[in-house]
Amino acid sequence: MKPDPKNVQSLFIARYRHKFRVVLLFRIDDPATAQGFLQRWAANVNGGLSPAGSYAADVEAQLDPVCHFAFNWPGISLLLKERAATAQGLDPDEVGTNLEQFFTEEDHAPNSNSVVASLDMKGMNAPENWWTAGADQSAFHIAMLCYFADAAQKFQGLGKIRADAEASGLEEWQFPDFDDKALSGEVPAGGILHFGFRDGISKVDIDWEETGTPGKSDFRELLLGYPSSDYRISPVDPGPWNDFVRDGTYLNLAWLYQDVAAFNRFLRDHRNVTAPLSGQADPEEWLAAKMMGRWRDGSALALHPERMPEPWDPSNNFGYRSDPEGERTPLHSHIRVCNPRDQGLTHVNDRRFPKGPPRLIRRGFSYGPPLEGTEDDGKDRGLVGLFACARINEQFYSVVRWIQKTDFSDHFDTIRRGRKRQDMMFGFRGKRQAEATTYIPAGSAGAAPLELPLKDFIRYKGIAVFFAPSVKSLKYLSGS
Amino acid sequence: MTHPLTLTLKIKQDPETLAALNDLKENFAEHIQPKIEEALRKSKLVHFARVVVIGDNEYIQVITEYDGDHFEYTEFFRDALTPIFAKIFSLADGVPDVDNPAEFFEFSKNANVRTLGLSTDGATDMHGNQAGWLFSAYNHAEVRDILGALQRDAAE
Ligand code: HEM
Repeated sequence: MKPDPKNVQSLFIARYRHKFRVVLLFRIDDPATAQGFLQRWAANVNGGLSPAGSYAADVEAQLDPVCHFAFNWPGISLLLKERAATAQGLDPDEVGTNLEQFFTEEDHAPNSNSVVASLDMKGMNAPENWWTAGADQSAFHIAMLCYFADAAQKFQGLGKIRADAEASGLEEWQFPDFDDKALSGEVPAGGILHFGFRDGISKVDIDWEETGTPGKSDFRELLLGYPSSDYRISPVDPGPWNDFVRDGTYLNLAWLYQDVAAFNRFLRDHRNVTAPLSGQADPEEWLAAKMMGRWRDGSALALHPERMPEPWDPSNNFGYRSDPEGERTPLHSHIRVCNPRDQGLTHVNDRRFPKGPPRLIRRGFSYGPPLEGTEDDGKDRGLVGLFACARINEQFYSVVRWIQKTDFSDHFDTIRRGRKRQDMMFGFRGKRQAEATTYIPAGSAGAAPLELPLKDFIRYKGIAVFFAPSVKSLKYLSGS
Repeated sequence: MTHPLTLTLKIKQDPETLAALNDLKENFAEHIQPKIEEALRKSKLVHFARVVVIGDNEYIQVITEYDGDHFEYTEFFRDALTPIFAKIFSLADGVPDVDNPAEFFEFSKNANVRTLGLSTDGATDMHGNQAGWLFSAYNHAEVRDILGALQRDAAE
């Protein structure tokens, strides 16, 4: 059985041209009226690879707003009960181990003690500091992801949605510090994020036809409902739960604060020690690139180790096999930790991921005003990351753990305290026993690697796990 | 960080199960032990491991000291040792389907007995609470640290 892309919500398999993005979080009070709302807004959700408004469709066409939907487990439970889905074998109270516990069980929710310990969400990253201070963490059921072409369309669109939501008894969890009172932001000009890096280059190229072509990813990285011996995705057995989740995906939301001033200060403060190693490149640009694995313009270090090419190179066609020590792309650079590509993993991880390292389909947006320079202005800014995958613990949480502790590959044993280090961009530096310094080989200069004390440049302000059902199951949940 | 695993299962007392237990005991050295040993050696995560039957064939325990996160490697052990776990678990009630990751995860979490006392190295249990006590003569160094040190020592 192979998936039909038309049954997959397009958000995960196409890219929209819309600049303005908003995540509305709603709490269901009355499932019946909530279903009315869903019927009006979710009935025409886009499925497929080239929906209107995407780069794969007519790029000259007018951009109408689009929205997509995902639900947390309490939300799905309420809607299934309203559908009397028990008769179809979908009793949420009896879901048992049909779905991953990291989705269904409060004991393994993102803010639970067990997951917080596993992901090392400590210090400022701890759930006490997530969301809006004091907010009840179970205050929402529905994530409605809205895409708008411009500010006027957003203003109008949000007004309409909110009026209908209110009339449908949906309570919105608002974020008073955002102008839109919701997690919202935009695709920045040229795709340049806070910290100055271009995003949106690497893509997960899904192998819809199971050709096994190198460079393509198995659709099971994204989609539930097709368990295989290489992908033991819950539910593993055929049955109503399997049918219900098929062509759906988990949507992991991470709200991340970026301390731009601290990052810029770090680059500036180490300008002098970096200068002898950076060759023809500007020392600060060189250090930033080594930490990310890409130059700020997006060109990969693996392909352009010396300097930013002119013009920039969007190629994503590279690996790390020929660079086992990280001379070009340091082992602890962000993109090498989050996607080690062809770098060998430890035996346990090879066995866990027989088809290659876990993949995440990344969506999301920047929020907050840009900041230049090294003085903080006290304003909130960062990234709302949306990471889609078929297994929460094996994929999303594994990568989050790898960011915090780089022990997933034997290569780390070749450098001092290599397995105790962290993603150089990211990670809670106060983690017990963490080696919170950079490790940047000095290359042909023959000098010692650059080991500079890292700071907390990024911190978590919230993590939530949703399930984005297929187009078909979304209709079912809506009561259609 | 090293964690203790004390998987403890109450053995069913029907004649069939007791016969299977007997079979397990008899075959352990020749057929089971080498398979566990191979998987654990390759994992570079487990310090020590043993399987014991206690009481009058009342309980079977799988006891190990292992490194790393509780949730990171469950799938590896399930996958690498599926037939062994199937054999051991079949001696108890409420057996999970070891081919099913979620069932295996739930079962192994619940069958682990907490050690007395409190961890001194910040270790947490599978529920995220402070773990029970586990003494470590080498300050909770990981298997890979120890293997690396031994290798360096041998090379000198
Ligand atoms: C504020 C926080 C973050 C920033 C600024 C950031 C920035 C970036 C940038 C600039 C890239 C390279 C662009 C590209 O390859 O298209 C990238 C790639 C990536 N990031 Fe992040 N990221 C952040 C958080 C995260 C988190 C939390 C995760 C996962 C849990 C993650 C996973 C990835 C992955 C999987 C890639 C693709 C790597 C590849 O395919 O080579 N990122 N990130």
